[in-house]
Amino acid sequence: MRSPLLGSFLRWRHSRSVLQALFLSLAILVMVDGFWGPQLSPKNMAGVLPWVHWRGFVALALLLAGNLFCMACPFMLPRKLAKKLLPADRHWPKALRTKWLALFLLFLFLWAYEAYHLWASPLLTAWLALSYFVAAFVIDGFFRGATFCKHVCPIGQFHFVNSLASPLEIAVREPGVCATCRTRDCIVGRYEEPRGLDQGTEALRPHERGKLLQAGCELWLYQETKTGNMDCTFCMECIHACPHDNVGILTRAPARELWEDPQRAGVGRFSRRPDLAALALFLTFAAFLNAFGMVTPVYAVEAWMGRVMGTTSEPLVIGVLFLAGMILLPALLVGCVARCSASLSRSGRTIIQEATRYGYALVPLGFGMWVAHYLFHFLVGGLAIVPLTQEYLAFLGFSFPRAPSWAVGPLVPESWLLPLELIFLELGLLVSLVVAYRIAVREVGPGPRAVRAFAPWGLLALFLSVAGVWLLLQPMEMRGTFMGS
Amino acid sequence: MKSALLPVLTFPVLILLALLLGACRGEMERGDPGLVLDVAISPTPPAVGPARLIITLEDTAGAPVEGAEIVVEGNMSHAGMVPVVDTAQAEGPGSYGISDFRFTMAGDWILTLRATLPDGRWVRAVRPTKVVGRVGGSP
Repeated sequence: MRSPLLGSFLRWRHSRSVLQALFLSLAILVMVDGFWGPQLSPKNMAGVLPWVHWRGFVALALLLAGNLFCMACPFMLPRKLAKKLLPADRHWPKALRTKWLALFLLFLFLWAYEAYHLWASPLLTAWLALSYFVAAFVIDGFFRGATFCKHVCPIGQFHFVNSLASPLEIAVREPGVCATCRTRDCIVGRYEEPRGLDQGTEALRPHERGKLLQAGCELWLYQETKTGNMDCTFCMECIHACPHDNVGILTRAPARELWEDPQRAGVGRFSRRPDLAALALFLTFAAFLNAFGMVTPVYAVEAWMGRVMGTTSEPLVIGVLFLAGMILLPALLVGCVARCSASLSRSGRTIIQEATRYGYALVPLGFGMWVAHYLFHFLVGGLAIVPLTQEYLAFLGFSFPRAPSWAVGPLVPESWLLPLELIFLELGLLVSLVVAYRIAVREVGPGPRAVRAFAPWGLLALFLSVAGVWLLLQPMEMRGTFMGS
Repeated sequence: MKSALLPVLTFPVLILLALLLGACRGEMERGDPGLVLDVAISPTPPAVGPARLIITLEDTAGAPVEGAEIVVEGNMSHAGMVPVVDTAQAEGPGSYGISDFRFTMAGDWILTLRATLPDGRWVRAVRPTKVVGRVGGSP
């Protein structure tokens, strides 16, 4: 925030709106071309921008910075309109104030991607984007704050969980300044009339305070006790609201927050959030199953399952495969590991209590697999946007000296791809092992008990890493048609 | 007030602009309805590596059409993979072929053929095809 150019831009009140407008125009381009353009994925913005570039940049942003894609989220601009047109005054039902709904939607998203070959269908991709806009508009139009981001958005949950391993976070610079702050603008917002507390008088209610000049955090992350990136969309409202300029985008030790367990504003303790731990574990295993959907052996598995189930319906077979691979098998594996860990360390905890403490350790490994997978597509196909844009502009009457050349190569030499993928995966493993050990030390203290508590989780991480290496060494197969056709 | 409205106003303007732009683009045209372009692939199903494409160009009455330039572009269903582009050679009346069309990866491919005649008439055909993996190795 204090760097000369970038810092000035980010401190500008409308910086997020500008980024969102840019991404909104890209999203509109995707929808328009998806609905009305050629239905050949490599020749359509809806086939290239979301599935090659967006995912690649998300992986890079999370790896090198933080949750930048929630910051620039295009779905939030129409939401601003919704907040003006609709009441936006209801409280999200208490029973849904967890991550379970978002986890279910994430499962649905990943299943639909595979079962209906979203990457091969510009039309379905466009419908998906449109549904997203409608959902964000309706939910945040009727409910208070950023309900959609916190409790519903599957993509946002992906960002939240993986940004736990990112090097940047929005945090306070000097905790002492917050301790003396009387206004709490970072959470309640800044109004025309001061809150009252800062003047030693009775606090005014929001409707008594005139116009809202700057909103506070809509995800209820109070800066003084906010820790880490969970649920933080990098919206920067707190930065702009803080009258003391005490909030900024700061660097930190990546993944450190995974082994620390303070009481976090708007989140609580990680160790008391089974829904969060389940989301983290789900995303870890989903990384491997998602990659499994792109290699040749998946055909044999699907064909075998189809025979056993007596069906040729790919959505059904993939639904069962995903249910087994993303929910049942992980539950079984994690349950066994948690039981072993609790027994060996004599922690006396139940399986769920143990898994809720250690499950976060697998996040870096899962993230490593997501990065390996998404960067592969980006590095191989990143340049495809050049001829596609050329062709798009040619339709609009722009002329180019040469016809678009579709035979563009990868962004890096092809021989680098596999080593790079392996590096990301194994880096994830390494960080996961460190996190698991640090959690063990936190839970049972240093010494042999910590080693015994750590060992089963370390073995699970190692097993997943070996599975990942096997996956990356498999021949790839790009699917997109009905099973058996 | 003006600043608060900025993003709200930007939104519909952007939508409108992009709709106008995108409306110019459409599904790929099929060309002259009086021409019929077809392709057969050997082996069936094709495997990763070289395949032979046997292409026929006729009019709607079934008469062979000669003298066309036929370009075949193979794309994978997933965006971002390098396409394979080749030009067919005339092999007989209305018959054209590519003896060494190289499928680079297993999976779902979409072949787009475009035949252009010396008089400017043209026709396009799109053929989805499934390419199987080579036994015992990475493609």
